[in-house]
Amino acid sequence: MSAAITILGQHLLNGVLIGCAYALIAMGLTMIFGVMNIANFAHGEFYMLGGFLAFYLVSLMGLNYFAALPVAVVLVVALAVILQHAIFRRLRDAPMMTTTLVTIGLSIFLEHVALLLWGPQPQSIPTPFPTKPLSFFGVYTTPLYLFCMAVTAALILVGHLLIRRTRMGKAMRATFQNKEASALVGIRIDRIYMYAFAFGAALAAAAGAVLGGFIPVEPTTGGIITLKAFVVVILGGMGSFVGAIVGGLLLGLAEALGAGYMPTGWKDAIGFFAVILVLLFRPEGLFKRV
Amino acid sequence: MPALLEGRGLTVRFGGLTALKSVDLAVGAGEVLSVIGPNGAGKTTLFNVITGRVRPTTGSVLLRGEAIERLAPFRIAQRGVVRTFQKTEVFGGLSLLDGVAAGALAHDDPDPGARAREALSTVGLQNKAELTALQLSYGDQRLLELAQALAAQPAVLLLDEPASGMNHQECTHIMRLIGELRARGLAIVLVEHNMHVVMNISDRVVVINYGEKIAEGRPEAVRADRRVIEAYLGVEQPAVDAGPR
Amino acid sequence: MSDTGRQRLATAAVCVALFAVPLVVHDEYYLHLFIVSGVFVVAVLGLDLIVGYVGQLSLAHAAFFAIGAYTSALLFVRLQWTMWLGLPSAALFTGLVALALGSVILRTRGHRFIIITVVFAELMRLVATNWVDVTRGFMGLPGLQVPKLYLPGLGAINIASKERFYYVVLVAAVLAYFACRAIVRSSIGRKFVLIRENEPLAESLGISAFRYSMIAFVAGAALAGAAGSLYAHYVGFVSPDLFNFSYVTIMLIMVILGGKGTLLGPALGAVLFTFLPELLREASHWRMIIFATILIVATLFMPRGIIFPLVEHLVPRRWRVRNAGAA
Repeated sequence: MSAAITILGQHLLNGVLIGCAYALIAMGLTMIFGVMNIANFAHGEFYMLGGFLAFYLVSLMGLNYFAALPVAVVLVVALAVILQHAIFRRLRDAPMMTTTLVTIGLSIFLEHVALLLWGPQPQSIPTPFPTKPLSFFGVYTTPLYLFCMAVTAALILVGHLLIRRTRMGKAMRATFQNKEASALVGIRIDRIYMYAFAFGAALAAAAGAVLGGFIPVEPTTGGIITLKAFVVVILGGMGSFVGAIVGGLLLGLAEALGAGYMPTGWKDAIGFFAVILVLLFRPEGLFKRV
Repeated sequence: MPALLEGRGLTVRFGGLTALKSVDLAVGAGEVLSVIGPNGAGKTTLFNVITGRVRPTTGSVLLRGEAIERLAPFRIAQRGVVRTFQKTEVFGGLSLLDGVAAGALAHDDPDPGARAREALSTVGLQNKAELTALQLSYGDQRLLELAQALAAQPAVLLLDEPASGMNHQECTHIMRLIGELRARGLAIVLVEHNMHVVMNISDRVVVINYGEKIAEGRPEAVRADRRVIEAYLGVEQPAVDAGPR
Repeated sequence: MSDTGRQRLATAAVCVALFAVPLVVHDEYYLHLFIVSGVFVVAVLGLDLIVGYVGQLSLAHAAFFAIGAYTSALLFVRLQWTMWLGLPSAALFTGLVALALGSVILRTRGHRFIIITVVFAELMRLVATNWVDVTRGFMGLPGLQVPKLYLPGLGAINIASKERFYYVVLVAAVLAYFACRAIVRSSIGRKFVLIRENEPLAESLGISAFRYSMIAFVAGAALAGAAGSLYAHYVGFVSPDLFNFSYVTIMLIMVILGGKGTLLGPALGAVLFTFLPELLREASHWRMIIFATILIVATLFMPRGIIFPLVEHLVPRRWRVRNAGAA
């Protein structure tokens, strides 16, 4: 019996970490969606780039692991700002099909640039943590896991505080609700768009960089990550940050348990089935907006 | 005269907000009923309930005696209840002819083009039939909206602020059109802020304030009603281009 | 030469060219490309109905293509149904799947709709990969064949050669084109466009957006399913690779760059973007990078597409599908 509990505990631990990563990624997606009204199909690529850049900073350029993570995030944010300035700024009032096609194109572009530069190999970021497992009540965990867990949880908290407490966060939420009124009140919409896009990219990249030491990243990961993020956002209700966080955790846990107790390969389908069910019975999502 | 369209006890609650409270109204063929009231009083909600965009919390909408409030909006339109919108709605990139044909197509009319031309002629846009909707001036777009609605063979026409933003000449044109449609036997419900228009073409006026009907009757009677004057905070503005009294 | 004269010449030239291909082209490789183009013509005409005419971005189309392929393959492998039965069955089944999916998602609009179509496609990929008892997972279903054609008086004709199968695909593409053109010119097609231009307005005038979106969705899916069946029998096997996102991407490129809402544009796009990738085959990643860039640039700056605006003056007036502003 205790062996079963140990295994269950293992799955739960994995699930919580993955869930926190999903939560971060989904928070970013929600921000971009809410402020810019763009379904960012390239979002998973920000995650992937965060992981790959961190990998190359550490392994090729010998940068300290703890420095590489934020640097990777900053690089991705820089890319996001460039993209916003070059492309998305023109799409302020564009129809949905246009913006979606552009982000799909962007996703393919980034994925294949990554494949071209770095090849298809999955890479795991080398970390300075000792690999000796630690044991809590029969459940094994590693220092790396604890680090990842702590950082992602902290980032979720920071993200939440940024949205709720800072002036910029409030401005972003106001734009969410009513763009015209916000513009009238003097909120500079272009600025807000840039911050929202950067914020979204930063959270996704951070998740990728942090998790990259734990789970290998490959250039093609972006697609499935984007899809999972959309699943979380739909489950949580498309404008809700709380929904993104709780939804992310739920999906992570559900998948971890599923991976443990279902035939492999079906694990990914859990989220998809859940989305279809939600759409049938509660289309507005499980949580209220913002 | 039996009412063509009736609203009985219409109440609409959104969460904690009551947009309409037990509103009754009735309009018959060949009659123009104006609905007036301060902004946010619930007038557009009334239109939304009648056209099926919003379900009433209680109450019913009857068309020729038959309850329609639970039907899908497109079905209500097919039965002859057609509206225009406060914010001008047209078929952006299409020619006037193609756009106005929508209503005729909805009724499986064998010759949608002919009906579209007819509707355009009624409002006076027949010479611009090949232009696209976006190429029209604001005033012409409002007329286009009317043509769109007419092609759908309405028995009841709900006009949401048809005179808003119109100059004196355009207003007169609109009023003449409404009069012509009334003569054809349409039942017309008008939401309007332009008092000149309201006073001059309405058979009856209903006043809504905070979702409740506070007055109903002939235009002159309603205008003199104390409660109505209070509702507008005593600031009853005659329209700027009212012309000589 | 007058405009009409030019148009007549162009139409005649195209007809002659289409029929003459196998007579002039003997290289098996290029014949193969023509056949695959024809298959994609059928598929993207269906996609244009949904994307170009009703105006909904469906990312499930490649999944419908693959479902058609698998259906036809399974009917062949399990019941020995030839393509003559398999193709219509695949089209029918795919249409039914679209009907079921549509009844769930066609009431949602906006981004949610688009995302659910991707979710559906991904779910179908997982089913094909993991329901090994039925689909044999990664191993796929091999051994599919092109059937013989039975004509009275001539007996069984072998049409499996590329020269001959080309004509099968040509007939399919031409039929698909005329079917779509008929739909688009009818009152149904005009309602598609009205819904695309202003859905709430169309509804308020008596047009059911749900019903007409559904018609486009199911018709489009059936065409994709039929195309999938052709492809499966021609290539000889199906595998879960058919559900890769790259198929959706290339179909979208064909439609958008071809000129959405014009039927002819996407058809030409199907041909161009079947040949182009093959010509760039050596540079696999660069190829996708270029395509992605073209997609972004075309979406941003060329809303009417690239191909159709180039050829439109060659299309006879009465052939031009009355699209009235492919916004």
